[in-house]
Amino acid sequence: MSATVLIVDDSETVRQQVGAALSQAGMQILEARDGNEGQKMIESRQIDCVVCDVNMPNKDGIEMVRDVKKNAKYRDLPIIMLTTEGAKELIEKAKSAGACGWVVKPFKANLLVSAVQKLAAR
Amino acid sequence: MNQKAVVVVQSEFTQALSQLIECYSGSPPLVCQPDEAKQTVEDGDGVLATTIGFGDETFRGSLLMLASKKTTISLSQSNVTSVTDWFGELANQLAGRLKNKLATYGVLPQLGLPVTLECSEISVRSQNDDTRLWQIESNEGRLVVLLRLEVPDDLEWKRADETVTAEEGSLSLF
Repeated sequence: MSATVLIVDDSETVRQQVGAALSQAGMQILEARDGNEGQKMIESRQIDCVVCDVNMPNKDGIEMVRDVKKNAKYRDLPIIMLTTEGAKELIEKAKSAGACGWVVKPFKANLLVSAVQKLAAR
Repeated sequence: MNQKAVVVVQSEFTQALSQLIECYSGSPPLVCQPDEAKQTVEDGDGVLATTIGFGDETFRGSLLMLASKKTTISLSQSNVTSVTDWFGELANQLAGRLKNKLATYGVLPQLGLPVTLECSEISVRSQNDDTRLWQIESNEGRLVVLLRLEVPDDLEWKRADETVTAEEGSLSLF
């Protein structure tokens, strides 16, 4: 059975680019436009891995990770941050919130696909 | 205006701009700061303008980027359904690169969200010392970028020796 991956990003273009790379690898794709939508989707669907932006309106990515991880049910859900930012201070913040990976845009499709495959199979 | 800090930001910004466009056009673009204060891009199909703000408690700034729709589509390297969204994402990636470079000086500004407009024609003008223009000639066409900074006189930035940012395109799992 193929993995279901949720892509959370306010940019439609990024959702398409990430979605195209992952669906070519046989994964099922769900999309959300901000942290609020993303959290709702996590709580209502069976999701194997999340790829999430940091800077988004309404609720940012790190805030979403922190809120999702408060629920023990999602403690093991792998969430990778995909962002333009690379400051180690911010990476540490995401790690403390419960994220399990960090990708700096522009992303390399092959690297992202193999990381998502590995995490979704855990 | 703090000229020393402004020079630091402008120098890092030039690098960020050049690296970003190279990443999407496949070869290093020609980046210059034109003598003429007024700049524009032209295309019968329309021009895009996107802006994004950034700052922290010590300074703030904004960037404005112009390109024709044709140039923007060429830079995308894929079939984007929303060219305005893609152009906003490009500005977001430029601001993110600048932020990563400023992190080496211990500065970590917050980034705003990009706002993109579609125009029939638009030009930008650099009128003050706090505003600078860049003109980028790439394989995909011309871009014009304006950077505005407000940096207080007493602000001092020093480059850190250690690496404080992850590289563009890098992936790390915790």
